[in-house]
Amino acid sequence: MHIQISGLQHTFTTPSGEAHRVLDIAAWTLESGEQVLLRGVSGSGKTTLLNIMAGLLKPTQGTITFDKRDLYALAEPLRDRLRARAIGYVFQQHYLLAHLTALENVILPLGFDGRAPKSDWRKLGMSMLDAVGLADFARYRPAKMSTGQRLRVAVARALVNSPALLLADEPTAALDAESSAHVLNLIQSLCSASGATLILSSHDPALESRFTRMLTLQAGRLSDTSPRPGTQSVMPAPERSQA
Amino acid sequence: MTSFLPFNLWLAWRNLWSRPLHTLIPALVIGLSVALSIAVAALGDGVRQGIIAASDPFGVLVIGAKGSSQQLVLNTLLLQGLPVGNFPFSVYESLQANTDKVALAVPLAFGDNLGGARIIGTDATLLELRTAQNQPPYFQIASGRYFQAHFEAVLGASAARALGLSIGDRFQAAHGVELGLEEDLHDEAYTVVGIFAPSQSVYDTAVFVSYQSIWAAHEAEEDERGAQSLIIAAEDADPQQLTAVLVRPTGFAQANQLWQEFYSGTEAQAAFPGQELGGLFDLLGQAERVLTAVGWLVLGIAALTVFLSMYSAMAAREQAIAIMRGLGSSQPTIFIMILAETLMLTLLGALLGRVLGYATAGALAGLISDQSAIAIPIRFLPALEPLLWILPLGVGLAAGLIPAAMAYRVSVSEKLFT
Repeated sequence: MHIQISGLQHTFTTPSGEAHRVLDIAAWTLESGEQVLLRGVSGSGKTTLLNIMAGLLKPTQGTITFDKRDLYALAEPLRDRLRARAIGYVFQQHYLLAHLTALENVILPLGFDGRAPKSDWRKLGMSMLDAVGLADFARYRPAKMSTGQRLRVAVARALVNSPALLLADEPTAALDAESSAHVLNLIQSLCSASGATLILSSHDPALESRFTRMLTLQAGRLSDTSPRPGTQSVMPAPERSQA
Repeated sequence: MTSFLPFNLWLAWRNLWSRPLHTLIPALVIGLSVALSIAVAALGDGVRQGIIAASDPFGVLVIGAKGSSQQLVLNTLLLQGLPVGNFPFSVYESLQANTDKVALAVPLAFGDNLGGARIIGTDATLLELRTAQNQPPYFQIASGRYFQAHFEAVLGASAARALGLSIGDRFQAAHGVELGLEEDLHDEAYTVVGIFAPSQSVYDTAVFVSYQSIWAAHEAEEDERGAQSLIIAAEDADPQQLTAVLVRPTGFAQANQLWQEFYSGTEAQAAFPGQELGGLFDLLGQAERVLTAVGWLVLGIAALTVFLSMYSAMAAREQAIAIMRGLGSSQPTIFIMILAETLMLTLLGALLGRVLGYATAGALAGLISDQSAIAIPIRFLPALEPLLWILPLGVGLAAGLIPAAMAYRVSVSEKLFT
């Protein structure tokens, strides 16, 4: 999925009534299959950017296109469908539904998407749970699982529809180093295997070595801080090939 | 897992059972309102059917003492309450003689009981009662024979069972038509000579003797000399009084003529059982309407309960709804899911109500049957079904609209990321 951001701005109104601009990105292009680490301190606008990319938060100004389709020019039902079919989202708090089992959580996007035959849902869900090493936990509810296990279920859920874009918001924030490395291996290898574009936000410097492309959000502005010669600002958008 | 239900319904079902108390209590309240309506209607229907069936074989006219015609019919046909009074035997004799208008006249004399079972003085014409001319006699001897002499008795099927008597046993009758009215026993003893097959009427609970025996027992009781044998007393007893006569007129016009004659006379009255029971059914209908109105009131309360349950649950579920939206669920899907939840909840209540309603009607029918000996059949009432589906589901739909609209408007970014 080719993603292009142009003149993107987002402004919140503070409780005192003042306008607070959290994002101001002139232009940014992302090619299909890229894996990008989105860095920035807490409050720098990482989650806001991911929400906008997920079609969940309409920006105050600017456009974001997926394969030349303006995401926010789409009617909301079409944006919902696009999200169900093409975008996987690993939320920072995982956000599993507490009353459903791990397997039921994983197959939810299949139901919202509606393309896969219902008879295949269990097989697809189990294969994703197997991929994240939780096949034996299919019938467990989130409350009976560890934080790392819940995260892996969230990853399986985000990838079950084979999305073209995976957004992961601070997925390893609550994990120790070992679990963090395991989950990152998992996310990156699954995205590589499916060819999905990955944008993973984190403020953990330990993750930098895992990505060839890094973007940093600071005061709402995005800059390419990839550890390679020729590092430049995201404006103009960097010319990159598939990672 | 989700094989049997469409995805939205499956999700709604799982949501419902994630908070069982919030589901069961409103469902129970809906169930109670439906149950109340069903129980009232089914019991009313059963009582009507039971009374009609119980009074079916007893002719077209009931002759009795002047007084309440409804009391006469209820007492004679259903053995409920006290007799209106007695009238001269000559009235019966004139009916017997009036062959132009009277096809069958069955004399009945009440006044005594045996352990609460009414003792009915009658004669062999009782065996000629039929539900229709082409039907076999309503009362059939199952064992032994019909009484042929004074102080011989035939027991109704239930009476034989309840009293523990069998052929050859002897018993003494007590004064009064009901147990406890007068405790003293008559001196004379009856001998059981036969037992009736079950007739499914209240008369199954009665004991049948000749009306002359009843007169003799009472006459002997009043005989201060007390020297004569009871049998002699019975044979010598002058015709005295009867409590009722069941009359099958020769035709419809004759029935009306008889009724008119008794209406203008002074010795006795004639009553049409159908008319009197119709009046009773009207009273029953009024009571049903009041109870049905209570049922609708409970349904209104149920609607509020469903609404409050769904409304209060919405606050706790906004995040879950936002998660579903974040995963690609559309707003209409969420709206339909919440409506489906309320409809499922009311559907559950409506089903529960049917089980509770018919079970309650069955239990109450059993109690009434035990006390009145009238068999109360509880039937499934298909005519009620459309209303009892449409109303609860309509209530569920109405109660679910606002929560569904709230769910529709949940802001994903606000609920997940603020």
